[in-house]
Amino acid sequence: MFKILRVDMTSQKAVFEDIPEKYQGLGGRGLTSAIVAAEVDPTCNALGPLNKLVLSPGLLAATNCANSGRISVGGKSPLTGTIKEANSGGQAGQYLGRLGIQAIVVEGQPAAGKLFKLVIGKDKAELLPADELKGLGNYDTVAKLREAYGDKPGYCSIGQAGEWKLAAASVAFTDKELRPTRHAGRGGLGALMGSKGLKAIIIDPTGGELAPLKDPEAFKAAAKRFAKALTDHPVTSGGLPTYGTDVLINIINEAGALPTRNFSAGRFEGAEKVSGETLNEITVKRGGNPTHGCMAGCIIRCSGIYLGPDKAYVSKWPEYETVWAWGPNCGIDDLDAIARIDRMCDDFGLDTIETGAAMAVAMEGGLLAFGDARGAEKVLREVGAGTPLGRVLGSGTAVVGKVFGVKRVPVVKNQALPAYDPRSVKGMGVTYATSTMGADHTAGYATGTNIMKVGGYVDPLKTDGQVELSRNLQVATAAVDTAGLCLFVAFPVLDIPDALVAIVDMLNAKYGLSLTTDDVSALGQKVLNIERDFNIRAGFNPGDDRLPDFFRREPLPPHNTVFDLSDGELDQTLLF
Amino acid sequence: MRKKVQGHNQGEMTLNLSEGARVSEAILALGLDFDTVRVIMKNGRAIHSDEVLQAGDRLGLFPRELAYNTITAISFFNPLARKTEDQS
Repeated sequence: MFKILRVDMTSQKAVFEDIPEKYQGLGGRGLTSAIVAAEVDPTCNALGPLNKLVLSPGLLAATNCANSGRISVGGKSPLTGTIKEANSGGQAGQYLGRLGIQAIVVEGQPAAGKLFKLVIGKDKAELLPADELKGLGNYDTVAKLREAYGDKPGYCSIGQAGEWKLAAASVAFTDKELRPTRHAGRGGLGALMGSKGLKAIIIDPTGGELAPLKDPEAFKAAAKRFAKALTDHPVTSGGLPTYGTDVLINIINEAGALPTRNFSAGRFEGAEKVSGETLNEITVKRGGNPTHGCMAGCIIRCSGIYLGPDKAYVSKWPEYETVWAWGPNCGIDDLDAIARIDRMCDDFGLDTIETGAAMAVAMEGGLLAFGDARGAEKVLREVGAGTPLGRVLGSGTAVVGKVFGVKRVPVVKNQALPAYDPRSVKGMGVTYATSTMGADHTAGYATGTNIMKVGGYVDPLKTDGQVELSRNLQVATAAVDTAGLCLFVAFPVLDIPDALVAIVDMLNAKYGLSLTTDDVSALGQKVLNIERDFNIRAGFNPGDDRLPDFFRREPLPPHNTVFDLSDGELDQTLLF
Repeated sequence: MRKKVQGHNQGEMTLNLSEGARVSEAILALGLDFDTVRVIMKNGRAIHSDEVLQAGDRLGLFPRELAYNTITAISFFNPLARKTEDQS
C-alpha cells in the first residue's frame, strides 16, 4: 500500500498516512500539483509557513519500466509566485517508490535558524537536527551524510543558496555515484526547502521492494516493448548517449535560434567550441565517460562525466541549457570554464539556466564584458560566499535586471527564458508565454500520438500552427511528468506509436486500469487545469501570459524576425 | 554523419554544384541519403520540398540521432524522407 509521508516542521513530526481518494491515480507532477493546489493558499508568501514542499515519484516508479525513476518537486514558487513543478533524475524517485512512498509533504516552519535532516527508511521517518551541515555546499553535505548513513541511501539536499533562500536555488539529488549532480532546478524550490529549515533528506531503500503489479506478465511484456522502442530509436540509442543533450548546440545555432549575448542574436560564432561534438571529443581524449545514466533503469544514458585538462573529475556533463546559459548567452566559448561553473552551481545548489541568464543580463548592465569567463566564475563564486553581489545573482534574472537598470530582461512570470529564441522558434515562444510554470522549455517538450496531425508542417518562423503545437506538447508533457518518465522517451514515442501504447499498457498492468492513449491526453489536460486554476487564484491573469516587449520589437539576426503571435492567439493555447 | 563525408573541416565545407541543382543532389553529392539526413535547414530555414539551390546558399544537414528537440524535429523535418515514408 502506497502512503503519503507528512512532515510537520513546526512540531518536527513525520507521519505516514493513507492516500486520500482525491489524490489517487496521480503521481509525479500530477500529484505534486494536486496537493499544492488543494492545500496551499495561492496568495501566501512563498517563504512563509503556509507554503508546502511536495516530492513525488511518478506512477511507474519502482518498476522495471525503463527510464521511470524521475522525481517531481512542487510548491508555490518563490521565484515566480505561480504553482511550480521541477523535475529531476537521480536515485530518489526509485528509492521512494521502493519504500511505498507516493509523496512527501513538508509543511509548517521551524523556529528561525533551526536546520533539520529527514531520515527515511522502510516504514520509518524522523527529523533530526542538522547543525553539522549548516553552510555546506551539496558536495560536502553529501560527503558528511555518507559518513553517517553510508552508501545505500539516495540523498536530497540544498546548498548555501537554498539555506539563504535565494530565488534561483535548486534541490539536489544524488546520482548512482552519489554525486549531487541532478537538480530540480527551476523556480527556486531550493529556497522553499530552505524556508522549511530542511537541509537534507536521506532515503534508505533497504528492505523496500519493487512496486506491486496487478498483472505482472502483462507489465513485463509491455516494458519489453517500451525498452525496445528506446533502444531502436537513433536519438535515444545513438545521439543522446554519445553527445548528450549538448548535441543541440549546433542544430539550434544553424536554425538561428541560439540566443547569444543576452538574446541579441540567434547564432554564436563560438558554437562549435561548446557543441556536443566537442564535448564528446574532449571527454574521450581525457578518458572521461560520454555515456552515463543519471538514474538506475535509464537505458538512454544522455549524461557523461567531464574531466578537466588534468584529467581530474570536474562535473557531470553540463546539459545543453547550462552550456547555452553560461556559454553563448554570455558570449563565452570555453567549455572547461562552463564545466567548472556547472560544478559550482551543483554545489551551491543553483538553477544554471536562471543564473546564466542573470549573468548575461548583468553583462549587458556593465558588470563584466560579454565573453569574460574568468570574471563570470569569480562572480558565481560570490553566490557561495554569500556576498551582496552573490545574493543578487542568486536571486535570478529579473532581480539582476532591476539592480543594473537593464531594459532587455528575458523572463516570463519572473522566470528566465531558456535556450531557444522565441523569434525564430515561435512555438517555443507560445510555450514560454502560456506555460503554468513561467518561461519553461520542458513544459511543452514531449509529444502525443496526434502531434503529426498538426496541420502538416509547422514553420518555426511563421505563426501558423504554433498554438496548437504548443498546446499538444504541454498536455503530453504534463502526462509524461505524472508517469515519472524521463522526457527523452518522447522522441521514440513520436516516431514509434507502439511506445505510447506500451506506456498505457504498463499503467494498466500496474494499477489494474483500462486506460487508452486518449486518456493520456485527458490526464495531461487535468494536470494543466489544476495548475492554471491555482495561478488564477494566486492573482495571475492572461496579461501575465506574455513575452517581454523587446521580443516583439527587436528583429533577431540572422532571420531578422520578431515574435508576432497576437495576444488573442496566445490566450487560446491552454483552452481545451 | 561527419564520418561519412570527405573533405570537411569540423562539419563545414563548400560544395560545387551545377546551375539549378536541388537539395537532393547536394545530399547525394556528399554521399548521404534521405534516411540518414533527418533534419534539413536552408539558410537556417525549413524547406518543404526539394528546393533549387542558389550560389552562396547555406545548407545545414543533421542525422536522425541528433533530432531530439521535438519542435526542431517537426519544424525542420526532411520533406524528402517523409515522401519516402509516405510512398511505402
